[in-house]
This record gives sequence, C-alpha cells and structure tokens, in this order.
Amino acid sequence: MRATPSPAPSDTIALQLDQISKHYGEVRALDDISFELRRGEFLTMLGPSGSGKTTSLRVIAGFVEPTSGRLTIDGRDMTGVAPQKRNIGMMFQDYALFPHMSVVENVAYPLEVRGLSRADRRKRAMEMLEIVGLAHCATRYPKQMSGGQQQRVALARALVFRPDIVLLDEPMAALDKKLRSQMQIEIMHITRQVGATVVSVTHDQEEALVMSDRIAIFKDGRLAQIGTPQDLYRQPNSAFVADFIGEANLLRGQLRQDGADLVLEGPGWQARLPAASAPAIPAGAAPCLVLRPERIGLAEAGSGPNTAQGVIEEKIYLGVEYRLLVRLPDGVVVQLRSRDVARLADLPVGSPITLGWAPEDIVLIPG
Amino acid sequence: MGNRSARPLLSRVPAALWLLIPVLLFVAVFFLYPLLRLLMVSVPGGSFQFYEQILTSPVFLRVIGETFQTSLVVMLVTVLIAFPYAYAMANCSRTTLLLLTIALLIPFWVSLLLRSFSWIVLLQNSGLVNDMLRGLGLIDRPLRLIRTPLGVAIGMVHVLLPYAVLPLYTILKKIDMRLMEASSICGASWFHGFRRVYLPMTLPGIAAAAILTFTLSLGFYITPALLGSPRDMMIAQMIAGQIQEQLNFGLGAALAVVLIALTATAFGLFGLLQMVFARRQAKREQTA
Repeated sequence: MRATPSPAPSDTIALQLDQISKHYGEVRALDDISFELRRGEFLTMLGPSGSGKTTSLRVIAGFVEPTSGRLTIDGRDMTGVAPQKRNIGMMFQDYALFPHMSVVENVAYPLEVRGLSRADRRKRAMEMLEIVGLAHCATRYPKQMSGGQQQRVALARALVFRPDIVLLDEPMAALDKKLRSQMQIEIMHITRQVGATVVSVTHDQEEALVMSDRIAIFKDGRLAQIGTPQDLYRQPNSAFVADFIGEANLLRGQLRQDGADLVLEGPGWQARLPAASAPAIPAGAAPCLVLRPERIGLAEAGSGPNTAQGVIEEKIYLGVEYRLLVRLPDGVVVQLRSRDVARLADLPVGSPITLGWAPEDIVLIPG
Repeated sequence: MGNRSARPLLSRVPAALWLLIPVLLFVAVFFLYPLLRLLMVSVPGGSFQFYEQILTSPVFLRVIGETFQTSLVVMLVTVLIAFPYAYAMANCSRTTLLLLTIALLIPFWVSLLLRSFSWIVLLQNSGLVNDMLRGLGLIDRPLRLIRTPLGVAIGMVHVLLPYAVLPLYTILKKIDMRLMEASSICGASWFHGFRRVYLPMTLPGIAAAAILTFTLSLGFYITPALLGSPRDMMIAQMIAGQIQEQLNFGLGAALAVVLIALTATAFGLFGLLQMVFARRQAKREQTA
C-alpha cells in the first residue's frame, strides 16, 4: 500500500525517504516508508501513538539510524551523517530550550556553532525574534516565559540558520487548547514567510488539516496513505484513513455488477454508482462504503438507489443543523448532519426515516 | 493580635522543633562542650603563645600549606574521575546503574583501615602495581609509590570518590539529555554542546562534590599516616603527634582550632559560590 506522490523534478525535492525500515529486534517500528517532500512544502506525519511517525522524524533528524533504506536531503545521501552535519532545524515537543541561556543566546546558538561573529549572530537572532514577535523578550530566560512564548523561541532557534528542513515534534502538545489554534496559524505563517520546508508530527487530525500541504498517515509502522488534506478526506484508501481524517460512516455490504453500474448493498440500504468511476475492487474483497455525515440528507420515503432506511435513534439540535443518529435494520448506526431543520423538527425519536446521498459522494474502499 | 505576645514563650515554639531536642542535647554535650574545652586548652591563662608558635614556625606553616596543597590536588583529581563515572551512572541502563552503584558503595562500606592496608599491598615495591609494570617491561626498578605524596593522593582519592560521585549523580540525572540532542541538531559537535550546554548545568553538582572532598581531605588522618612518609605529614597527623607523643595538649588544641578555622573558611568560600549559583538560577526563573 505504498503511495507514490506525483513525480516532481529532482531539483525541487528537499527530502526523500526511500524504503526506510527500522527494526528493534522483532519489532518493526518502521516498515518500508517511502515518500518525497518538495522544497517549501509543509508535511504532517499523522497517526496514533506507536504508529512510527516519531521514529520517522528521528530518522530524518539523524538520532535514529534506519535498519535499511536510504534518506536523502537535497540529493545528499544522509547514511552515516551525524545530526549536527545535516543542516536540519528542529523544534522539540517540550522545546528543549537551554535554561541557562537567555532567549537571544538560545536563538543565536546555531549561529555561534557555525562560527558567525558575535555582532552577526546577534543581528540575525534579533531579526528572527522580530519575525516570531519576541524581540522585546531577548534578554529574558526561558523559565520566565509562557508556554506559547517558549514555543516561539524554539521555532526561532530552529529557523534562524535557514535549515534545509525544519522538523516539528508534536508542536502543540505542551500548549493549552485555546493557544493551540492560534499557534497553528502562527507557525504556518512564520514557516511560509521564511520559505521553510517543514515536517511536523502530530496525533491531532485537526492540527494536521489546518497546517499541512500534505498529510502522511501512519499505522503500525507503515505509511497508510499520503496526500493533500482534500485527497485524504475525499479519497481515503482504507477504513483506517477514512476514520482518522474527519468523521465517517463505514458500511460493509455485498457488491454486485448491475449493467453499467456497481451496486453495494446491505440490509435497508443500497449504493449505486457507475462502474467506470469506481476504484478497482479486487475479487473476494469485503468492500466498504464511506459516507461523510454532512453528505447524507433526507430522501423521499421508499427504497431506491442511494438510500438507506432506518429509525431515528437520537436527535440533537445544534441551531443551524440537526445531528442525527439513525439505526439501520441490522443495528448499524449512521450519523449525519442535516440542515433540513423544518422537516426534522416534526420527526420524533423512533420514527422511520429515509436517508439519501448523491452518487458522487460515494467512496468505495476495498475494506 | 495583642493576645499572641501574651502567650507564654514556650507555647509559641512549633511542635516539630521539640523533636530536635535529643539531637541538640547530644551535640551540646558531646560536640560543643569538648570544642569549647579545646578552645580553652589552646589559650592557657588567656595566652596566645601556641598560636604564635604555630604562625611563626616554618615547620607548622609548611605542614598547613602542604595539607592545603594535597587537599586541593586530591579534590581536583577526585572530581575529574567522579564526573565521568557519575555521567555514566546518569545515562545507562538500570542494570548497569545497579552494578556501578555497587562498585561505588562496596569499598565505601569497607573499613578505612583495611582499605589503606590494601593500598600498601598494591603499591609497595614488590606489590601488584610494580610487578605488573615490570612484567610489561615498562620499568626496570620498582617505582616508589608508597611513602610518597602520590601514594597518599591515590589512597585519599579512592576513599573520597563516593563523596564526589553521589552529589554529582543527583544533579546529572536531572539534566534532560534532549538538550544535548537539541544542541547537536543546532549543528554543535558533542564537545561544543558539552561545554556550552551540559557542563554549565552541572556546576552546582561540581561545587557540591568539590566542597565535600576538599573539606574531608583537610582532616584526613589514617590514609596519610599509612601511605605517606613522615616528611609529608598532614595537619591531622601533626595534631595527633602533639597530643600522643609530645603530650603538648595546648599546642595540639591550637593546631586543631587552626584546622577548624581553615576548614570553616573553605566551607564559607564554597558556600558563597553556591549562593551566587542559586541567585543566578533564581534570577532566570523569576517572572519578569
């Protein structure tokens, strides 16, 4: 299930992972990971804990040597290259700011290491602090600053030497919820402003959707799917991806060919779409229908193609819309959001209801 | 509020302080009182003649000077050896940590006398060390290891190692090693990161280890007596000599007071240093 991103001219490829695996004894922390990153792109590696996203980040940083596979940065093979020689910036989960150095000393540290003169590194560190909006805090120490401020210092330190790649390890994990959405936008703006190529790691799908050009979804050490947020939402290639990105109803049924159409059906429901537009479903697979809650509406009573019959199990009024849980005959519960407020107001819990959807909103996955 | 000052004095003492009374009594009877007696013996009839004798005699001054010199060298060597050991303890697996701790503490529990005699066995002219060096063809004649300042220093460092390793370890294990990862991803070599990031954070531990080993060194008696020669005597031996052999209690007491005063001065200087660290630390953490 390896996703191959559209081939790009090699001069714009900033990072390439080619069949990277990492084994710890019997455990396969990473299994055959391959993807490419174009210069200036913001990629988020998304997945539950233990899925391999953090190990991938540490492989890119050079803290973990892969068991097999090849990593290249700007075309340079990184095998055996120490982290300090990779020209990578990294923002750690708890920022890892040097507590005994002031903010400006922290930001100037990568420049100090690179042998810039005292005046030059101060100038560039101050410019970077200006960009992250902390120029007025230059002489403070990390412990004197709030979590959000510390994060911006860490970001400044990761960007100040114009690294080829910037890695963000769970960038929002240490922030409270309110600050998160603000910093997501801010980090996105800052990294775009300096033209950085970014690889971020998170288990928060909303954060991935907000910040990324592309998302790589990890599961059990493998790359489940990689693509733009829209691709992943509209064309998930597995139930796992469909469930991980946004809300999804997953209906398992029987597949049959009916003339030029492909029909997937189960108790009380039937989905019909032109066979030409359906993905190739291998024979003997148990295919699965993916329906997004906002793509399901109310239909006229009576069974037909692309409808489902059920009973309202729960009805929640949310002002502009209703959130409905509908139980199908075989007990499967479908959730949907409907703006048909006037009609739904008259339907009590327990009344039968017919749901419908457009053929183009159907996503079939091999299961 | 006016009532409060009217309450009897004793009832205002926090209850927990009463628990300290046995300790305070013990210290008063068995430490402070003898110390006072010592002070009095050192100034018979209010005369400072013994102190005058110490401060004008080249022999005494030399012994005091050499005691300081030996202690300083021993302190430096001990901390230098203890640092990598503590670093290993702070950054190893649990099994290795257990082994390193046992290796550190077993000698610590063995009698000081026994350890000093063991060093004699090892360092003497026909001892293990000289035999090995000769066997390897590195030397023709045995090195004089015993009855030299070098032998004293070796024995003292051995005794003092746990006192330096343990305070260092408590500081080192608290240092987040991700800071070193951060340093290397910033482009710094291991050595650069060690010097600029790691080492500055260990300074409180180094100071604690140094003060313990130095002040303990100043009062060493058994190890220099067994491994050293009478020519490079330390101040504790000289005090013992005055009291046991010369029966000159007054001079012995005066020497002891000088030792206490010098140790207290060293302790005070280190304390000052630690206060500076603490203040700098506090300054970095106060909210602006």
